Amino acid sequence: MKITQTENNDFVVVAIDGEIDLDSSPQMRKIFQELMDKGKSRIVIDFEKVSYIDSSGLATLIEMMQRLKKIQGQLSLVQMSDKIRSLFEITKLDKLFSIHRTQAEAFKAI
Amino acid sequence: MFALKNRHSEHFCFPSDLRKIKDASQKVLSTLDDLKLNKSDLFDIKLCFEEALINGIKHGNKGDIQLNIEAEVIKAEKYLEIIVRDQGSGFDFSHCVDPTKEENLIKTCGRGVFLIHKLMDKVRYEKKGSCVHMIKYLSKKEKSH
Repeated sequence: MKITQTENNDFVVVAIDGEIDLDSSPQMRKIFQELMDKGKSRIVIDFEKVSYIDSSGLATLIEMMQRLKKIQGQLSLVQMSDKIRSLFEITKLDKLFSIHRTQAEAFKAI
Repeated sequence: MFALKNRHSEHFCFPSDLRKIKDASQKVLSTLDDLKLNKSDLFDIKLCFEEALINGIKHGNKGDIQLNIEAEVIKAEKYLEIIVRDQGSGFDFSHCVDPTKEENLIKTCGRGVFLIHKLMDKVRYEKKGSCVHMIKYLSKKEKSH
């Protein structure tokens, strides 16, 4: 998994390229911890290049969202493929997360 | 229950090592190339196989690296069956909470089994849960989700 971070005013866009799963979740958790340590609390995850996510990946996202909530932060998810979006719908996690089609929509909503 | 005609099966044995999940998954999925499955079905099969493998290692074999996980892929004319067996004493999956209930949404566990049931067409357990049979029907229209 490759992770690229871009700062955009108050937001940090974290673009993930690859699979979010049991193997890569620790790497994602580490990046989020570093961002929170730097005081970044508004995070947008760009899923455009995410090809796969498993239950460990979903659990890691829930954990990150909960941690951001505790510091009045926010986590938005954007540009999901239809397949990955369907997993959020099946698990009803689409009710828990702020999911948007584009980064622009996410910025507008935050 | 299932027709024996045109069945082809392959057996695998993997170590109880979470670091080897991807290797195991690649080996199993590579045997499906000839089925020319669509991307959505492949995604589902990969996810369910990996979740079953993780459950077998974590809950079945309790992470004991000395134990193995056996897998069997059965390709039949109209369906694909994947069987995953651990060497543990079983696990009662009926006690798994429904992760879609509002009070469980923020829980970080329990979605693997739930996804297996949602993404495969038939799921059944044997040996007190230490063996799971997962069936996906082939040549069907892509699901809407």
